Amino acid sequence: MVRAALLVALAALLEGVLSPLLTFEWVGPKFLVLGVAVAVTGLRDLQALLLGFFGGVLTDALSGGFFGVGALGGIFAAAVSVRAGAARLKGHARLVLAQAIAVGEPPLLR
Amino acid sequence: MGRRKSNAAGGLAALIILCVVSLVLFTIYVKEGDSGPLHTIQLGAAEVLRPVRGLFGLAASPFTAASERVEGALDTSEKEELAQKALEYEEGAAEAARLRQENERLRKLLKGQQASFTYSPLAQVVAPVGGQLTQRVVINVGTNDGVKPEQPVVVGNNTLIGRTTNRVTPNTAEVLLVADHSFAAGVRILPPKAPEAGAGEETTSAKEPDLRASSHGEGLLKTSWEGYLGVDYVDLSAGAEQGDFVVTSGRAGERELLFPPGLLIGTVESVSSQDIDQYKKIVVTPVVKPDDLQEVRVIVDW
Repeated sequence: MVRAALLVALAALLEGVLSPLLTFEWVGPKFLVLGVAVAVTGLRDLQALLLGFFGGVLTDALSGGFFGVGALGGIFAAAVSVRAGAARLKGHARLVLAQAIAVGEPPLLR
Repeated sequence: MGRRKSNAAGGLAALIILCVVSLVLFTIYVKEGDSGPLHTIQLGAAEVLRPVRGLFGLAASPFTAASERVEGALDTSEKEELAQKALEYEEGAAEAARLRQENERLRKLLKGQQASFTYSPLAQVVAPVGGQLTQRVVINVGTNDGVKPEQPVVVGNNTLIGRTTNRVTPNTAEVLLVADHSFAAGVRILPPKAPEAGAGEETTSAKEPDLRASSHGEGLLKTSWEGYLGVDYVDLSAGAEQGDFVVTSGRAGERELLFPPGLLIGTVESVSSQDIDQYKKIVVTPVVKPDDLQEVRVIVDW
């Protein structure tokens, strides 16, 4: 659990520091979504959702965007990752799903 | 089995609650001002991360520059907008320059008017009249502005350019220019003003006639059949010289002439005489060329 929290925190930090530099128009890496999708593997539903939520809040605080948007993104990433885990998908499929969430985010959430 | 179901239900409830919390956070963030707690947290975090961001920004500066170049190449709307604005500014500057020039010209016109004269409103030259041998124009003032036939028409610093003919309508008037063969005016030849003592080379006194000086000759201004504007009937004893000014005389003995005295017509270009001549032959260059006419005024009373 601690390792997962550290991973999400690192992802949030990267999202806040690196994403503005690597974003081109509307295309950019979603470190938080990827970090949450990887970190919540094996966690319970509630733990995963809470981790995604607080990771998103941390991202909101560090990145300077609208508060709550990153939190929603983290929650959705955690939920999808949990459902993918429940369906016993392989690790790489989980990453693909996470990136699908990132690309599928509505413009308001960016 | 029952535990898994309750776990799933709890997860769904947590998902809903956390989504609602996220939306509440969003609402608070949007509603609060710049000094609200969430904004303050962001500002604090930005301050903490500033060195790290600066470091990464420095490392990524070549990529950022390349990205901006690509964006600029793909998005030409900003460039077009700037080009449009530059065009508008250029048009504005040209219009301002034109207005400044016109303002200066109108100021000169008003500066030169004499208090004893009554002028018609400023008139524009509407059209030339006649063919090669006639020098007539139409101006856009008429009887409604107090203009009558046989009145002097001036431009600038009381420079006579002609007179109105009998063709005066309520809104237009025909002007017979000084260069026309039918035009004639009694004139005096005056020397230029002597330079003022202590004045520099840029003084303008030499460009004005000395109205108080004794005349260098009197005569009749007329365009000869040879085609030049000249002063006829000037005595051989008259002291007219090249560069003297030709102004209207206004009176000839007891007779009051058509034009008021002192209106400038031109300068003496050449003076010549032969032994068999009874008068001097004086050629005059008009101050205003007919092609340069723009705004004129009619002296309706003096």
